[in-house]
Amino acid sequence: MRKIIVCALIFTIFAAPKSVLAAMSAREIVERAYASEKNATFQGVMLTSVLVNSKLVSAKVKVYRSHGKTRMEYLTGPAAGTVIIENNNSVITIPAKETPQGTYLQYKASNHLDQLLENYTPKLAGSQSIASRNCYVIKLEPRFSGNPTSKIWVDKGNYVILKIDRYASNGKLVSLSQYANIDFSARPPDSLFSVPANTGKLSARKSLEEVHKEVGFMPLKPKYTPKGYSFEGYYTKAMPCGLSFVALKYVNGLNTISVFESKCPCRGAPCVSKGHGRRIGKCGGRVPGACMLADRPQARMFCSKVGDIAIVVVGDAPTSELVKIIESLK
Amino acid sequence: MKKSSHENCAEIVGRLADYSVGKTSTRLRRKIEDHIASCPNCSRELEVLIRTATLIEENIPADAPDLWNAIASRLQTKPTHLKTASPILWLARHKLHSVATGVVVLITLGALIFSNTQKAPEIGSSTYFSHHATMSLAEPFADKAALGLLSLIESKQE
Repeated sequence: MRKIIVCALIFTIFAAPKSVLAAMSAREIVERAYASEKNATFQGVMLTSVLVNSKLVSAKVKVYRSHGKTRMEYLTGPAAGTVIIENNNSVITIPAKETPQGTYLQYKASNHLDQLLENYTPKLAGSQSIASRNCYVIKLEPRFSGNPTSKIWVDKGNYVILKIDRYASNGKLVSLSQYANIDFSARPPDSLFSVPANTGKLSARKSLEEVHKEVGFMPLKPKYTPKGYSFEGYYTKAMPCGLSFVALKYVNGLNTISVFESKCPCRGAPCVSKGHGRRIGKCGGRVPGACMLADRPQARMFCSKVGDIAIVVVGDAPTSELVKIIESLK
Repeated sequence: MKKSSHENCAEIVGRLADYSVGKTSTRLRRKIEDHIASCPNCSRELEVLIRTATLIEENIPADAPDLWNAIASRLQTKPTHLKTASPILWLARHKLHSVATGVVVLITLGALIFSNTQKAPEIGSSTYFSHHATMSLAEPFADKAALGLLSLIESKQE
């Protein structure tokens, strides 16, 4: 009997750490990949595809990265000529030529790694070569069902993510991006990441008081948010009619749910009552208290109204969860 | 203090419709009669009112016994016939009010038609999707290139 116990103990000591080590390795790889997002410097060409209306739309993108700053130049596809710069906690979109002013989103620098690791379990799913470089393949599996997932390919040498596959909450692949070639010896100049002077500051993370002043009403905050999500901040954006809507951003480390609120003065705004123009689109399906206006591969959109405030919830989460968010506003 | 003639006329004209159908009090009736006796304008106004009422009465078809019976019945049940006067008679009695009401109705209708033809700026689901994609792009481990492309495709549909 003693022999059996001793054998079992020896087996536990030698076998258990292997699984723990594997789990920790995946976690460590994710932590290092997260750090490399802020430190790595390189340039390369990426191929990206997104599912739009059941078809994959692709583009070739030139990517420059330098210490957390990113510049993406769309070389082909429907956005050819457009440049997106991420710098100093801002996302700046510079359109090709048709519009003189780009868009601007200023966000708060925050560490979502802890939240990501609380809500997702990284699992090592093997090794694979991407752009002639050896990579770990890591699956980010959600702890709470009904959330989207990602698979990332992390460079074994410098932990830069060379490929991302994104799966919607229904398990369907909705986008994929991977480097066709990458040059880690390149040193992109700072001028590539500077923001053009004529770029309008159209959207920024704001305080509640600033939002109240800009939109003219006190935003409603959902009393319910799905498990693992936390409030990230208020953002405002000017509508074509001159007024602004407020967006409340909720994140779980990997996924975003947006709650838009406005007083719907524009045509096509999500007004449920009469006399405010037509709705965004046909109600694709009614659930108590809300109307589904759009169902895209990456997210669903529900609308409702609380008093004279039109509510639009966008995100990739189960319908019941999105509707609960709306219900909790009433 | 005695009111001016103009002020009196305005007051008297406003009461003429009631006077023409005997609705006024004895005191007011005397006042109106005194004024009309010395004011040709108000006198003409009263004549017009009486003539209009007569014309309307003459144009009611004689072969409508049911209608006459109904009117007679109403007159008997409500001696203060003024309160149950038909809209046509009311319009005849309140000429100025009628014109003003017509103008207000026309302006309101015109404004409604005009406002409906004015195109308000458009905001659609793409606006929200585009903004949602841009906000998602800022997250770590986000597929920035794909989200950027998605945001651009949606914003083109705005």
